[in-house]
Amino acid sequence: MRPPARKGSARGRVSSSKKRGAKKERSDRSGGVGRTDPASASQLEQFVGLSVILTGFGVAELWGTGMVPTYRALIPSIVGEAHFGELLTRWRDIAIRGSGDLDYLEELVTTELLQDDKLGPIARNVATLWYLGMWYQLPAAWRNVHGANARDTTFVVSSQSYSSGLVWTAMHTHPPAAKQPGYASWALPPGSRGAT
Amino acid sequence: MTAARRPTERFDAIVVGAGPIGAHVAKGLSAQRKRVLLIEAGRASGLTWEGYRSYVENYHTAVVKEPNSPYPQNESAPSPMAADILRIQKGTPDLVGYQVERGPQGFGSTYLRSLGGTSLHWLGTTPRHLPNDFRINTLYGVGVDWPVTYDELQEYYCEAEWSIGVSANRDDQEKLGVWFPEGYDYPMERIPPSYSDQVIAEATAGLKVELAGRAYAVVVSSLAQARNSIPRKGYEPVGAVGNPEMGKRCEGNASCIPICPVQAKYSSLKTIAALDPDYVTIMTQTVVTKLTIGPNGRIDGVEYLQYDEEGGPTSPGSATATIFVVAGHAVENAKLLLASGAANSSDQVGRNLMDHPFFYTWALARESMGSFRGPGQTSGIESLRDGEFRSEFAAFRIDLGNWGWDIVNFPPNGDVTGVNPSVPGAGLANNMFGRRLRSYLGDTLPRQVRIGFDIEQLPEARNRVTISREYKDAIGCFRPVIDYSVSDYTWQAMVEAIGISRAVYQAMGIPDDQTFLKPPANLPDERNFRARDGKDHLLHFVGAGHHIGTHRMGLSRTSSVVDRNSRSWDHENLYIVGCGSLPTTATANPTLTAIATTLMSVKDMLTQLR
Repeated sequence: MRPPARKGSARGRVSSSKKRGAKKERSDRSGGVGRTDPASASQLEQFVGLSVILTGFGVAELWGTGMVPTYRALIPSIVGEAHFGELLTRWRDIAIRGSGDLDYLEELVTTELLQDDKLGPIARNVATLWYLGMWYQLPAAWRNVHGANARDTTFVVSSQSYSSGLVWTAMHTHPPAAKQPGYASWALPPGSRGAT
Repeated sequence: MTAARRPTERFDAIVVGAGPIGAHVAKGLSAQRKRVLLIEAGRASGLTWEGYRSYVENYHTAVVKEPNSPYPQNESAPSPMAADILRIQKGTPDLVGYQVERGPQGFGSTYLRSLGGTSLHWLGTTPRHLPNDFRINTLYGVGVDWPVTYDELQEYYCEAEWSIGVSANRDDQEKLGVWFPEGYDYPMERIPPSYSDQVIAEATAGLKVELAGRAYAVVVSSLAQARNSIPRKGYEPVGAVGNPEMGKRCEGNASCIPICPVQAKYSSLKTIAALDPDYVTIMTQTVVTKLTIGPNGRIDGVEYLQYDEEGGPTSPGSATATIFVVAGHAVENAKLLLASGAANSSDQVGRNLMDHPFFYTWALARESMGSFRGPGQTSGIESLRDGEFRSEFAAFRIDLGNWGWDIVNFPPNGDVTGVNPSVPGAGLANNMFGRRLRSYLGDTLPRQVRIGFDIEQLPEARNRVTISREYKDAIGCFRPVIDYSVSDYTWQAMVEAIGISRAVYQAMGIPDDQTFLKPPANLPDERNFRARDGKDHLLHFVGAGHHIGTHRMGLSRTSSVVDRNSRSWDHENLYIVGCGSLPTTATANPTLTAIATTLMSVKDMLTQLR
């Protein structure tokens, strides 16, 4: 599956952020969030947009893991298409309102998504999929009310999902037992100090 | 090399167990053209590259990445799993899993029953024992002396280091008080110390700590390790089994425990794959259940159960040979001897079970330590492995971990989910997500430091492996029943370890509020210990995976199971080899010394096979 073509206008976003009195810089402060016009985005684009805000990684980085199609298919297979659709609809609403202002968008994600009894646990699981390549069983209270799917157990999706976990990049290393950096690499200073 | 079923020929030797010890017996005997039957209870899958890769994939997809996680549980030859070791309630044994634990302390160490044995999941740390370690009773009035000296073991240490491929620099090791024959050097150069080793070494230069009234220097030095580095003249690094160009150097996979994906770390698969099939027959999926004793007191055969499917039906069989070598791990060896009523006139079989109780502290450095890179340990503080203080409390080998807070809270998963994160308030459960989560992970985890203490434990008869008709596995074999406790000699050393940790972290400039010297609350086996200073300390340890002492060697048949050659006092054609033969733990990881004592034993075996 190829990444979707970009739609929408960056200019439009900036102007909407002006309305909210955000900084007037024209650079993309949203880290790729909302590059696609939220109102007209496909479900797949919405899923990637939601993933960007939840992970702090950009659209290209997420597509670059190769895991987008897998996770897009996996989540509704566990929580059901209805819950998944609701999650994306809520996100679309939030993305439109918060478009162009990352601080505000994050606030909306916190209060209207993560703190939502039904959608919050699913949203958190979207992030753990990306970071760890793992699905964590939803909380007992969630299962009690919203449905206990037999596939909703704690598991690592695949060897590839493990190796593609964003956590390793975030912590400036590589997944143990994969992507090995080579002999004596561990003796080098970490981070940019090793670059020169 | 295919696994034989029901061989009919007569063998010179039957070796029970295909881990590093059994593999070296088979190697030593077959090199002298003796016919060997090597019997392994577990599966052989590691011997093909595809089989081994399946282990790596298992590791990737394991939810809990514990030492045995790459190696699926085998119902017909079960192994203890770390997750099964629970808090033991007073008077109620822990029956979960394979190992039955009666306490009072949990025995938190695991091993692996498979071709390759526990060397599949070991870290590969291979220091020698210090010369004084062989005579702690004479020198310090504790424990027992060994029936061999360092000098007598010297040639076998050298042979073992070349056989498994140890990377180390001679001068690093000489500073610890060990000596070498003239002209000897390790087969490969030392593994480069990690960046964090270098930071700690620089910060602690000149640091001294006081132990029992004397000052000792804290010296960071390189660890001897059985993993491939740059070879010295005359040595060719051994690559992966079935893929020999792979793994000729450590590639920094940072997963030595539980699996090296490229096999740069030694495992006995390498020794087994190189055995001469004209002389060595291997039977896997064959569980030896009994040694049979002839009227003259000699062992005259083994009885076994074979299975084709794990957890499936078994069929019985037997085999015979001139000599018998029990090499199936300290716990399994004791089980087999007890089940056979063999070798136990001293009543010491299964007793004196020891480990290196592993105590650890942790801290958050001011700047990145480059954590979570490279082998699990590349250096240690080895200068406190011996001293006068050993008459009062245990010595320790201090490891400098390269994998952050690893055993403290198993990062990074909890840092992402927010369930037991490294810093309170972090992670998704606390609504930390996106760019904040990413920068938290990048800022915090590379600053994690964890130092651990492999603490000496003395032999005590009450710490033991027994068997009981009540506790059997799926094929009707005995499960090990463990009684285990730790004496004040070892607890006091943990209190000293707190002081040493504090000194190291202070030298590194880490503020007190980022230094963690006490276990988190509610761990199994936590104990409030009243130390020699009259103060109470909350202490906790985990297992080091170093099962020692269950068939100890000694000078007398009344107080030991085997003699200095690991030969049974009771049955002249029976040898019981491995870490179980070591009479004390000292502070060195035991496998190298166990291979050395086994090589000495092989020499004695050959005198019976002329």
